[in-house]
Amino acid sequence: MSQKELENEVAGLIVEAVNLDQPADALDPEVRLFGEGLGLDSIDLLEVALAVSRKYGFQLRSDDPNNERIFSSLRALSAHIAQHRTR
Amino acid sequence: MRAELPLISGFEPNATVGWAGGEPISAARFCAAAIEVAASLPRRRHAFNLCEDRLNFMLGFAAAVIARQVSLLPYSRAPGAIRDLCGAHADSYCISDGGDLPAGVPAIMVPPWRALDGASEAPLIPADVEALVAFTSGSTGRPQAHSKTWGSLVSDGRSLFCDLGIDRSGARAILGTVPAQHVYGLETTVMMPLQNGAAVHSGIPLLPADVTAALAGMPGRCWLATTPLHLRACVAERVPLPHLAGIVCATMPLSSELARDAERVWGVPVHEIYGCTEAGAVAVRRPASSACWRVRPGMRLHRRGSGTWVEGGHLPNPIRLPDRLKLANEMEFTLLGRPSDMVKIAGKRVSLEALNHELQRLPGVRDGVFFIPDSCPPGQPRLAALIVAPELKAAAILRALRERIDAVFLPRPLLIVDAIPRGATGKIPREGLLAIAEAAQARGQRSA
Repeated sequence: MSQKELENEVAGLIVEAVNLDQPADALDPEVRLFGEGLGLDSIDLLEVALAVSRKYGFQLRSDDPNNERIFSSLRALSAHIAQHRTR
Repeated sequence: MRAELPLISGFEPNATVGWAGGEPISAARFCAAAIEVAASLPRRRHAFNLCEDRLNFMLGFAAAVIARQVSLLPYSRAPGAIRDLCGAHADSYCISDGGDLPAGVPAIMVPPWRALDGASEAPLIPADVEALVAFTSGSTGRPQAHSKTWGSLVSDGRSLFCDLGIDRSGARAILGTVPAQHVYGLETTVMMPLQNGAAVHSGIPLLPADVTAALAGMPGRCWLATTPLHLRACVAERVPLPHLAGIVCATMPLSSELARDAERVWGVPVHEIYGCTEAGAVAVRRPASSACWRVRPGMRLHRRGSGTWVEGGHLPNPIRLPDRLKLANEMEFTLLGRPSDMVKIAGKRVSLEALNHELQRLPGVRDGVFFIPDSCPPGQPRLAALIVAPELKAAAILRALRERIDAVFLPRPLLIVDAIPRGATGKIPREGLLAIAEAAQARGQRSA
């Protein structure tokens, strides 16, 4: 799966998990996921983490020292998933 | 003579209060640190405790009450909300341990534990000292202050252990997924442990894997104080929860199914607390076996007018409860719900009226209204808003709102419309509101 394809898939997963009111293919891969940007909060992170674990078979940590980077954008989260996925 | 109550009940100097970077902090060291920090606090009346690390929060809170200062627990961390509260509480400042600080408010940092290595007995604090003010958003948009005395907090924390059925000889540690700034978090992870000789984990784990790691790091059996949202995620993932002795849940109703699943997965009891910012913990139940709530021993409910009031126990005065209750008798009840104007998301309660007030006072906003969309999955409410603001973009409105209201209440979707049809009284019928929202959303999808 190409980077672009995975990013699209993860965008779809986020939009569905947190009930976002914009189409997945309209998400800018560089937009910030939390705070300003997409405006996700900690409740959303719980939902996204559940969806990621179901689909990709590994668990996200919110106290990972690299979190600033991992959750900085759709692109960074997708890259993290590509690295750690077990399915 | 004024009654006095100790910072730590049943004080044992070598008992562990919590861990700082993995190092156990003894009760004697904690008390000495609190006395030392108290002496160095700014001579002001009100201290906003914004510490994220739970042990740092406890230190700041203990120091403030020793210095006879009132700790303020903001209902929202939005910088604008904290600035407003500071404006309303003259002589206030912030105690922090490194997070974002609201601009324009004086702040101090709690010192690092390596600089605090004394030993002391538990200081005594007069029971009638005002120790804490917690806030609810109020229905008019003006935050309402709820003041608690040291005596009330101690009495609440002391009896909560027993009222939850926690065996005093068993687990002596607590891990919380809720911040100490929430009254439920304060009761279960600050006052209950301090007054029952239990130790506290300093973190606030969020994701299931974080909870597993935090519990694995505890030296022995440990209770988990959490919410239905966190618990649902942990159950869905079937994560191992090592050292777990039991679960306490609050902030929104826990379904009996989820409670039973959790009891099955980890083989521990799941207890639930009903309470509110105004009164603290009022009743407990074990949802796996009972839908009925039992009022804490010493407390009583009664109806007066259209409301239900609670009195006795740790409460110096009767308090009107914000929910609608069906009383079976003085001691038992079921919950019917909240008045329709109130919403609760992630343990935070707010009236739609208050949110509308914040929205309508934003520069450039001509009209605006928050509502709960029909599409919300039950148990996971999210708000939507219709806004009339011809010169503004949605992103700019969100940015301005983020300054004013808690992030969990930010509208999703935020729909910009030409007008909101208000009736003669200014009221907006729900059907009309939903129809406009639907039309605006359809337009948005087409243009996207």
